[in-house]
Amino acid sequence: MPKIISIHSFRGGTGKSNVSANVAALLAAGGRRVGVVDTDIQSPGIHVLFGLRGDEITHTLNDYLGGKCSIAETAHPVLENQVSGRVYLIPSSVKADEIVHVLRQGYDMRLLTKAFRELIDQLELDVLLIDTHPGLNEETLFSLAISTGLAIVMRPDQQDYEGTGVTVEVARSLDVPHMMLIVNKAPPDFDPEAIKLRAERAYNCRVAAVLPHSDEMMKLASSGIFVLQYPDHPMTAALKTVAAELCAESLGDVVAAG
Amino acid sequence: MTQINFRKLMTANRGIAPLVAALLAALPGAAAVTDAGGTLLVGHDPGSREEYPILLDGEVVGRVIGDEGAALLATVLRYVIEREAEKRSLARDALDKYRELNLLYDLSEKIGASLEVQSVATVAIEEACRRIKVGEGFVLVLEEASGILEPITLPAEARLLVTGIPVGEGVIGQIAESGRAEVIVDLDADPRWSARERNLRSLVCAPLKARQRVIGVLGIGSAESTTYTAADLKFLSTIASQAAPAVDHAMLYARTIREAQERERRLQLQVAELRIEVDQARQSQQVSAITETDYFKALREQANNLRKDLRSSA
Repeated sequence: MPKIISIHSFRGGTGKSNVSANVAALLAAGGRRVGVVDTDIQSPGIHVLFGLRGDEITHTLNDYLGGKCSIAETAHPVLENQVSGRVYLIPSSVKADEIVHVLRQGYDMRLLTKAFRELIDQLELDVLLIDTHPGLNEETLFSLAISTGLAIVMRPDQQDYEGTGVTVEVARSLDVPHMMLIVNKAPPDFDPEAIKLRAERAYNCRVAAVLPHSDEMMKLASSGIFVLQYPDHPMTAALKTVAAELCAESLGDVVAAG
Repeated sequence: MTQINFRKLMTANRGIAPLVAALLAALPGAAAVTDAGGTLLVGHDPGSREEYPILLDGEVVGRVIGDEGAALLATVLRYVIEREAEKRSLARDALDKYRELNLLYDLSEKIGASLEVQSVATVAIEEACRRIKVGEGFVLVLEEASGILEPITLPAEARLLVTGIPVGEGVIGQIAESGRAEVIVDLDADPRWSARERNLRSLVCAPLKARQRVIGVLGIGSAESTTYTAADLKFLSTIASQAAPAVDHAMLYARTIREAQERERRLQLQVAELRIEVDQARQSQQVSAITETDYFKALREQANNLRKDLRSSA
């Protein structure tokens, strides 16, 4: 059965899109067919990580929501010849007027459900990965509600603590089957195990990975896929764990993946 | 060598000159005093060619010519000239000491004005190079953890000459180990030579000592063969002894600042870590604000079906 995975964070700047792109690449590297939907309509950016230039984007999620095209037309193949599986990116528009239009009008959630279903069917997806919009608006809650796996990305930063707690509780009351935290951009001199324990205790939620702030990651941050460039890096190993857990069907699978 | 102006001494109207004139008048027979070249300075040419040279440090500075009394006058003049030379030499020594004292005073004032290792080193190098004019100055300080003497603030020319070197290795490393300043005219011929010193030919180098230990070295080196003197060594050692406590203080100061910053950073981390657990009450309030909306209640009821629906469509 296809998996629906949301990568979320309460605030922007946590590295959410970066985690999304890397998890998508890892899943596709394992032979899966992955669709990545950029629902961060307010500040889209994941297309850059996949090396898709603005002028290469023909149709966007905004076009679909505005009734201008079918959802299949918005799917752009990316990372071709770099992974054994497939990655299709459904980008959001980077054009300011289109962003404002969708934000002002809002959109019909049923349209989004229909889009997801069609994507899964038509592209024969194993995984639909949703790069969410930060915060907890209605669209985001909807994405969480339909997810079989949810990763909440946070930084070890006071500004992220409370919002992350709220997000975890809200997602819990939606019964998202596989929910986990990812602590990103941890200062290198923090003890990752200590952070993991502390966060798990604070949120009563599993921490799948503590990713240190990495210079290599920062260098690649807006121009490439880290796990493909540094396949042997400890951070890649940590992200593999995340990818495996997000796709796990049962708790037994989670243990096997860890 | 002490310079004496014999002509001036003999022709002045004070000091020894009036005494010589009186002696000439009192001597039996005729006598006169000439300079080294034979020009008459005092007295009347006696016509006689008997000469008594006046020597100072083995060099003829003048002559007495004349009859029987001339030999006696020459003896007196030799004695007086020697004393005069001694007096001047002492005066010059005193002046040198005074200048050195002044330099030290200036130096400690300049060095004391800075709390940074780099500027202390720069002042020491500049002062050393002002007097020892050939070669490039350098300061290496001991990194205690590694035992390596590391260069600080080297001008580009000096960087070609010296690199970091472990204590005990090569000439510089051994000077640091022994704590004794040295002049080495030909490093290539020195059995202690290290490949790290391959660009150095001549060297004058003094340890920087503070609190009974060596904390680095101050040196001037040259890629060309250069004859540094004992005076250069003495001068460099003096500067090193002035600079060392200042370098020591500056290093201590830098370490203290580093440690304080480190402590502050750790403290901030601890505070940040502890704060994950706060504000549970406010959090629950915010959760309720979302979960008690109609939209959310509807969503929650549908969530499970939505998930199934989407996935079973394939």
